[in-house]
Amino acid sequence: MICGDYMGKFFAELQRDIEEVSKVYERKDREIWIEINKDDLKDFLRNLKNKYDAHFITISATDVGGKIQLIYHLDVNGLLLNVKTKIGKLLAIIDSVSDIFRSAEWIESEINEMFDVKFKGKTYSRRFLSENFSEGFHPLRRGKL
Amino acid sequence: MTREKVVIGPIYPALEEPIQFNLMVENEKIINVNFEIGFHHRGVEKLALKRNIWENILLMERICGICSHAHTLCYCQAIEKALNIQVPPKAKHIRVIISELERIHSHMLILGAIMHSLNFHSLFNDIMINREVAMEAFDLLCGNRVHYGINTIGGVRRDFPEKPLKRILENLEELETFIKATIDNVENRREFQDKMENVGVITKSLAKKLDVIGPVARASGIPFDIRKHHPYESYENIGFEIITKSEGDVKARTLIRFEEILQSIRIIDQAVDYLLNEKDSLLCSESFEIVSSEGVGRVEAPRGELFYYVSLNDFSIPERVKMRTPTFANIPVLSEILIGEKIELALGIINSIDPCIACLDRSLIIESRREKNAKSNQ
Repeated sequence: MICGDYMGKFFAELQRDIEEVSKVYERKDREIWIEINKDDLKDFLRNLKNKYDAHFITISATDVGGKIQLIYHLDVNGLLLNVKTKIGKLLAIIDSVSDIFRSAEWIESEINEMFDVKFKGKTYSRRFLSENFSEGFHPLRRGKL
Repeated sequence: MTREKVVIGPIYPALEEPIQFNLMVENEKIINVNFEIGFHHRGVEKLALKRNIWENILLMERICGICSHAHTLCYCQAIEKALNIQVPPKAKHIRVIISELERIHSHMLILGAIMHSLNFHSLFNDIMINREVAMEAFDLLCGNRVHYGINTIGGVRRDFPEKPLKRILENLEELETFIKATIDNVENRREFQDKMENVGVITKSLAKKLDVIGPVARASGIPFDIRKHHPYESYENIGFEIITKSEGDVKARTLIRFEEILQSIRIIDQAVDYLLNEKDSLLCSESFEIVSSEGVGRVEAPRGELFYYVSLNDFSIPERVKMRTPTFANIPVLSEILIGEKIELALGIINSIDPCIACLDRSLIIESRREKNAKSNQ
């Protein structure tokens, strides 16, 4: 059960929205961790922005063996929402959310350079890695150094 | 009509750190901005995967020389949440005292830089002299003025004796008088109004659109402060106010930092009072087991929300350490607010968002010449 009497109605509504897209969730203090399919991700985040005016914090990418795990961290009325999704490593493509949250532009570029994840609907200019590196160099992606 | 390209940086006396701004200027007004970053990169996120969780505290402390405590605090907080470690109340108050002293010295440094870049040199001198109150406090409490070495996983590394704490409170009283007089000056004197009012305006809607944080967001009327919003350490039990302003210009961003210093002094007073009356001497809960888990830390650093994500496996070397620094969130707004402003005010506007390039460039990797040669020889 996510909601307690803490901000009651808001939590109940958010919980309903979460249950529509994800069965896997965990609540710790003021944090919610959920796992979501990558195809549902964009609509879910758009809903959070429109309905609750969610504040975008960042995206954490991790190379977890055969897959790349992306965690979208958002602040919804003081509650930290961590939305996890996994994408295949060989064809690492996911929808860009920079049209919903403009502040996601830089972090998406950084993940592209570090992990070779492509964000659909986005053009890249080399910004974070030095020009001295070769084109196929992605420092935080395992097995390709 | 003359159109010229003005390049500021990467090495420029009025910029504290290396970043390059390419400004297109027409009749002394800026019409286009783009900036280049990455002159200061060290590969911290990669380095963190080669050290154990305790060694990483030293690494995180060295990401930034101004908010070094905020980085270690946020990193320790992420691990404490991942491993369910309870921090003793005394340690929480010690962390709060150092956090607020850090906010005072960071705010005064950037206020000095703003005054310097807008040619108010005597006020710059006064601010930097009074900043010594905070620097001396660090020296007394930690034996060091920059890297304090206070935080460890589960608590803090040292206790503060009574004598220096009392001396710091006396010094802060003097600082409070100076800050109040300076606020009065900046609010009412004509020369400040000319260079700061309606300059570099970030409207509330622009601030929301770009998700700006910290004093920059609060100066545009968004009351977003992690200390109240998502309380950590002992901030829940301490009384203070979130200062907001609605104007969103350089003057609002300057005044908000002066007023936040007064709030920080108020917080330190309460935390010191707690320490002087606290009998329990436990500083750190050391017994914990490392298990596969993940956690996040959120701290209101002087420039805004600092965010850490740490993923652990069953060993002591982390799987991933990710950090989002406040400057990373705040700096894109510059490309919007510099347009239309006079070139002479550009440095004041840039400094008013308090950019920290050491924090911004933390995650990038330098390939050493030796490695490069080895690769090309293969």
